[in-house]
Order: sequence, then C-alpha cells, then structure tokens
Amino acid sequence: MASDLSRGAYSGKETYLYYNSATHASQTWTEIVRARNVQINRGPNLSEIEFHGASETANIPGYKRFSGSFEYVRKQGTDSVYSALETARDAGDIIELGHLNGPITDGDSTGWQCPVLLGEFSETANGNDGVVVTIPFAKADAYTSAGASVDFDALTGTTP
Amino acid sequence: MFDAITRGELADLAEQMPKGALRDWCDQSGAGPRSQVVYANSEMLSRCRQAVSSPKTDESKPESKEWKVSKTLKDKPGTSL
Repeated sequence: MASDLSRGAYSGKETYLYYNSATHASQTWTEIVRARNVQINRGPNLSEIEFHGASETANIPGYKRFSGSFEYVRKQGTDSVYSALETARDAGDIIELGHLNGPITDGDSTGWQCPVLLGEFSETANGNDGVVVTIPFAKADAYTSAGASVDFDALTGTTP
Repeated sequence: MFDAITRGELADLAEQMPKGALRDWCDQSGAGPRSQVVYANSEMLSRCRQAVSSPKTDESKPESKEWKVSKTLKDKPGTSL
C-alpha cells in the first residue's frame, strides 16, 4: 500500500448531513442518516445588462443566495428525525443544517452550516421504489438574541 | 468541539441538574429516542457534567453572605463602605 498517497475525490455517499437539535450558541448535531442527494445552490444572482453600444449582453452580480434540497427515504414506524423536520416545516421554525464531507467527529471533515427554513415537501410513492420525500430549504433571515445575523458559514468536524 | 453522546445520557444529566440554562440545553439536546447518538458541544457538555458532579456551581450557588452584608450596608442611609 502506498501509505504516502491519499484519495482526492469523494462520493455523496461519504458525506454527512446533520441538523442542530439544540441552540445555535451550543449546537447538538443529529445526523440525518436517511438523507441522500443533497444539492445546494450558492452564489449571486446575475443581472443582465444591456445597452445600445454593447456588443453582447453582459452580467453583473446581484444578491447572493443560498438554497438547496435533499431527499429523505421514509421509514416505517417511528422516525424522530423525520418528525423533527416535519415539525420545523409546519411551525416555520428555523432549523440549522450542516453538511460535511466526513463524520463530524473527524477533524479533517469540512463543509457548511446554515440556518434554513424548510419548504414544501414532495413525496413520491411509486411501484417498487422506496418512498422518498424531497425536502427543499433556503437560508432563513436569522438573528441571535444579541441581534447578530446568522448566515451561511463553514463547519468543520473535530476529533474528540 | 463536538462529543458523541446518546440522547438518553443527556436526558439523565438534565434530570440531575438544577433548573437553569444548562438544564434547558440538556433537556433540548436530549429530547428524542434515548438510544439516538448526537454530537453535542463539548464545552457545554463538560459544564453539564461538572454541574452534576459538583452541584454547587456558580449557577446554583445561593447569594453569598458577604454580598448580603454589603448590600445591607449600602442600603442603610449614612453608611459608607
């Protein structure tokens, strides 16, 4: 084995999605084990600029956005994680999501965290396929009690 | 920064703690199936464990005698500290 070599690419299967079940100040992350196909969109909206003398339509950056979705494979019986997601959706509560390229207990894991609102769940039950819910989310307008805004941020794992 | 712990252990910690912000945090973090593993803020967790092992923490300690005396003197007209 070439012990001085390491793999570069990683698969979606190797990533970990979490939600914070405590406070923003002192987070307690719970893994969303039955999640898959996490997709995020982040960056500025581009606004088209056109004027008489321009040879082509050009663009300028607008407000930045953060939104995305993930799929959740439903489980029969009690599912506390899905219940927590449904509760947050129905109450319009802000929920913090975190996504890492490794376990949160690994100091090398890196990713993002963001306070989000969950949108309209879309559930598909079709033939032989497992029942899957698509859960969209978008950055929430979130503030701490001290008045500081909480935005998209880096999240890293830690080795206990 | 994050320690793995079951919700059951967090709920047990909460039960042994005096009322306050630490207990509220433990309660919140421990809500759910007892066997479910979560990753809790290490600093808060150690504060909770300390609060249980030595219940006389700053949060639970009653007002000290020294402070009570000072307050009494201060409230008394014509008395300076």
